[in-house]
This record gives sequence, C-alpha cells and structure tokens, in this order.
Amino acid sequence: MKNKIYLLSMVLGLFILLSACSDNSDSTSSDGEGEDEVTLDVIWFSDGNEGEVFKEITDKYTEENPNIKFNIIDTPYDDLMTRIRTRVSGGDAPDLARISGVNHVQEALLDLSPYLEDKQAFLDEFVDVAIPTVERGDKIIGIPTDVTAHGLFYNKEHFEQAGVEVPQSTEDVWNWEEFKQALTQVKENSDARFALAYDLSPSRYSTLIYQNGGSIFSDDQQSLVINNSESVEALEYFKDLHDQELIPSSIWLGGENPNSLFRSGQAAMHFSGNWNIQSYEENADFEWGVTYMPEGSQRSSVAGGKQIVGFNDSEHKDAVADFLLYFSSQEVNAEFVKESSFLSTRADNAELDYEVRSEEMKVFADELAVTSELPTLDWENPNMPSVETLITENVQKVLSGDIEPQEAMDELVDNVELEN
Amino acid sequence: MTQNKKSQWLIYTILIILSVFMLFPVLWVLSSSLKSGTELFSWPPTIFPNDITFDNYISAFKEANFGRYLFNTVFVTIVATALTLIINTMSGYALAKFRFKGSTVILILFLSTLMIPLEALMIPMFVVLKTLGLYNSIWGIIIPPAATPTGVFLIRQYILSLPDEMIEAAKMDGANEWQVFMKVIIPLSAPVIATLTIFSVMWRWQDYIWPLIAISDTRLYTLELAIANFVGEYSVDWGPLLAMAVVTMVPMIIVFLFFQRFFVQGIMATGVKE
Repeated sequence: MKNKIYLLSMVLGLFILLSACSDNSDSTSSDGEGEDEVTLDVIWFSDGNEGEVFKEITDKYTEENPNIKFNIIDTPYDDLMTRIRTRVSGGDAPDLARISGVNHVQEALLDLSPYLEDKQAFLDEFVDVAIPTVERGDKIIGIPTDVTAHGLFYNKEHFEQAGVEVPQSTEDVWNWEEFKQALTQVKENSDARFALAYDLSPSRYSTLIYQNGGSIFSDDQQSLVINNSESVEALEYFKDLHDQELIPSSIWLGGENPNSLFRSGQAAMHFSGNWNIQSYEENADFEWGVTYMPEGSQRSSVAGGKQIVGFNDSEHKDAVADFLLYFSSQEVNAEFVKESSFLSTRADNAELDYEVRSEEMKVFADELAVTSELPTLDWENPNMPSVETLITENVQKVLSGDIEPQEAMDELVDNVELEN
Repeated sequence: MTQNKKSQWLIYTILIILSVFMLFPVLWVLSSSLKSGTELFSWPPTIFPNDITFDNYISAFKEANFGRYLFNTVFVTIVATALTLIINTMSGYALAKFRFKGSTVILILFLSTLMIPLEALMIPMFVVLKTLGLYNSIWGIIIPPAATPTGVFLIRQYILSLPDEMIEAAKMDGANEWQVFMKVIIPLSAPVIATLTIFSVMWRWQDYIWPLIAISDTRLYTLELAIANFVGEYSVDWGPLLAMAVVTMVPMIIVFLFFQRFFVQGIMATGVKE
C-alpha cells in the first residue's frame, strides 16, 4: 500500500516539476520581446520546399526590420481552413496565411488598397490570370505569390519504345484526335500498362472544356453554361479516352493515385500540373519530360494559384501590409518562385532561369501564356466550391455509364442555385 | 499423443498464417520506410527493400525536428494520463457509491457530452481556452480533454460491481473516506484502471484535431501534427512520413505489451472497447 502512495506522490512531484519547467520557458520567451517587437503569426502549408524558401525570406526581412519576427505555423493542407476559421471566429486571427483561393475566408481578409499609392499600377505588375485571385470588387485582399499551370508529363522511355514523337514546339501541337492516336500507339507498343494518368480533379478536367472553347460559367459569371455543346463535347472526349482504356478508369472511379501510376512507370503520360516537377525530379528513376497539351479548337491550360493574405483582425496591420508588399516585389518574388520551382505571378518575372528543369518550366509558362483569363474567372467564382463537387460527381456518373454526357451536364445546371 | 501433436501443428500453422495476414500492413509500413524515394513507387512493388536506407529516418529526425515532437507527445501523454486517472477514478467512485440528490442527472449530463462531436464544440472550446490563457501552451492540450466522460463511465460501472459491504467493513475498522478510496477502491479497481490507462495513452497519443486547434507554435507540435504536415495540397512526402509513422508506433506497442493482460480483462469486464 505504501508503494501506491509513493507512486502517487512521485507522479504529483513530477507534475509540479514539469509545470515549473514549462512556466520558465514561457516567461523567458516573453521576456525576450521588447515593447516594439512584433511577431507575425503565419499559417503556412507546403507541397515541396517552399516553406524553407519562405523561412529564408522572412529571416532576411527580419534582418532589415529587426523588430518584426515571424512565427511560421506549418499546417496540413486539409486542415488549413479549419485552423484559420477557428482562429478567426475565436477572436485570435493570425496575421498572415498562405492559401489556395480566397473564397472561403474573404470577409476576414485585409484590404491592401489603402496601403497602395496607385492600385491599378500595383495590379498591372501581375499576369492577367493572377489578378482575379485577389481582386474582389474594389478591394485587393492579398497578393498572388505563384501560379500553377496544368500540363502534360511524359515518360521518354515509353515514347521511344513506341516510336512516337511528342510535339517539340508550339507549331506542332497535337489536336485531340492526334493526341488520342499517340496515346493508343504508346499503349500498344511500349511497356506502359496505361497510356494516360489523368488527375481526379474537377479543375484538371475543366482544362478540356477550355481547350474546346467552352466554359463553366457565362462571360458575365452570372449563370452556368457547362451544358453548352463545347463543354459537353469535352466530356464526350473524356469518356471516349476512358472507353478506349487509354485512361484507366480506376483513377476517376476507384480513387487510384495518378502520381503513383506515372512515378512507377505504369502510365506513359500524366495529365497534371507543374507542382509535380520537384517530386518527379527526386523520385522518378526514368527519363521524363513535359510536352504541350493538345488543342481542341484552341490551346488552353488552367491557371491555379496561391496567395498570401493578411487578416482584418490582425493587431499589426501596418507590418502585415509592409511585408506583403515586400514579398510581392520583383526581386523577392523571383527568389521565392525560382527556388521553389513555381511559376511567377509577376509579369516581369515571366522568364526566369530555374535551377531545376528549366526547359520543362518553360513549357508550363507557355501553357499559361496561351491561357485566357476565363478559366481563372470561372475558378474564382464564389459559387465554384459547390459547383466543383457536382462536376466531379456528374463526370463520374458519365464515366460509369449511368447517364449520357448531355443529360449529366443539364442535370448539373438544373441542380445548382447560384448565389451572388 | 501423435493425434494431439498433429492438431497442435494444424492450429499453429493456421495461427501463423493469420498473424502474418494481420501484421502485413504494419510490416509493409516498416519495409516501405526503409526504401528510397524511387523504390517506394517502383512497379511491381518489392516486399523487402532492395537497398536498405535510413535516409527517411535521418531526414525525419533532422528536418522535421522529430526529437522535439517526440518529447512533447510523451510529456502530454504521461501527464494527461496521470490527470485522467486521478480525476476519473475519483468521480467514478463518487458517482458509483455516494447517494446524493442529482447523481443520476450529473451522470447523464456527463454522458450527453459524448453525443456532441468535437467539431461542433471547437470554436466555443477555443474561446474558453484562450480566455483561460491556455492557448498555445502545452497545458492546453493536456487539461481540457483530461476528464473524459468515457473514462468516468468506465470506472463507475466497474466500481458499481464492488460490494458495498467492503466499504462498510473498512469504515467499521475506522478508515476515513480517503483511506477507503486509496486502500479499498483503488486496489480493487486495478484491472479497469489499467484499461483506462491504455485507452488514455492511446487517445492522447493519437489526438489530432484538438492539438491542431490549441497549438500554434511549431515547437509545441505533437507527432500526429508533425506527421500530417507531410501532406500538402498536391503531394505527400511519403518517405519521412512512413519513417515517422514507424517510430510513432513503437511506444504504443510497448505500452500494449506491458498492459495487454489487463487490456483483455478490462474489455471482458466492461464490454466497452473504444
């Protein structure tokens, strides 16, 4: 019995000891902060090494502005919005956050226009496809940091085996029919089990719609036009590629990971985006390249992008705005995108020499250059979060043969009530 | 004799096959964590790594500051479990053996909190946490989940089955309330306390969503948070993630081996498994 009491008192002792320790560390850290010192909380997520690059940039900023420090809070992408929303609603808004689309939190974001001398001149520094990601009415609620472009990876070994040439320049881009033939040949004449891995993503799917001259929302963004003939044709083409078993239906209907299919050499091509360059560079043990996506009635990619935003409830708005403008300056932006293998949002950083896979990055940059503002406007539409789920569901229904393409898109349009 | 041996062989063979079957996912994680980035995705997949490499472990420990997270997690788990045991045995005892007005109401109130998912409580809990000054402190992930209703219920049900006569006899011998609790109830409840220990260690070790909300300083991250950080919007950094997962499993396996006798007893006694 005595043992038990010893044990209990030991646990309690440990408890007190440890709490004393942790109190100490708390107080030393707050002692270190002088009165003018400001620590900016940054909620951050990473796909590759961009977190480290960002850290270097903030360190440099702190050197120049010794009273500004940064607390970078790494967050898993899936829980990014949970964390931001809880903190905003709980009255403890962070100062800065890296996000992928402002739609879910735009009310909470800091308008930068009061901090700008010339708003239009500031926006003009960015490429067209990036501007809609941060412009809301007459507000500028963040800075676009990097853009992503959809594009086509290919396994050089499979294409050599099959004797199929990929387009080498923008002059000899495949049309849809040629693309399908090339895929068929590679599948038949090489070791590849599948011709094309196509990301399960409504955004990647929509590339076909834009290539065929269609769109998801009307030009004035007030109604859905995804049941137009151009868009339905895109879906028919997509279904055809699945029916011919060029794209394994295990991706869209079974949740198989397209990255693994390509990375393991099972798929000859991967329809995805420039964010894969780093991981393929590190982890693929075969020769690969990037080629131009095929054209329907026109060439088009879809621009996605990331933003860094400030928050209205931040206690250090001036510091936040100052850092955001610093981060979006040509020099700093060039450093950030070059070292992270991103495409720049700044018009004057369109031609950068990357250390990793510069040639491939140029193909992606070219895909962006031929892309209009339309895809970005569609994807920044406030109704998109509900529409994109329906796109995935209806495309899946078509692929599994439940319903015809036209019917599926009509149904989608009927089922959505747009809010403005 | 031979007949007996034969059937034993049969049973063992079946058991070995079954256990290989059950262990396969765990061993697969272990073997994958020792593969290089290219081999991880090679086709057909290799069961054993061709070249064993510890790069994933090294990068997990170096870049991801793994040691720090391990310390945080161990600290949170031990202290929170100690707290949980103290609070839950006391309240479980009170709810089981003391007859006072409203004791059932209190129990029902307690249990009703089980019906509300954490997601719905998150923002109010965050506000409370912040007002108490526990936000972004390691105590913020230790104290709030310490008094688990499941634990109180588990202990109460067990203590309910202990005969009142024993408490009365102890009191006849001159024991006060505290002595009754420490010298009669606690020793007799050893199996259920062991069960709750395992549960609590498991809960705290795997806790994810609450630390995500309550902690904003990366130095205070727990292993679960750190592991999740390997998942980006487009890509997952599988190598270090698997390495971390392996190291995260080890302490759980040790705890289980240590307490497994009680674990099974406890489940049989209460019929409750998380």
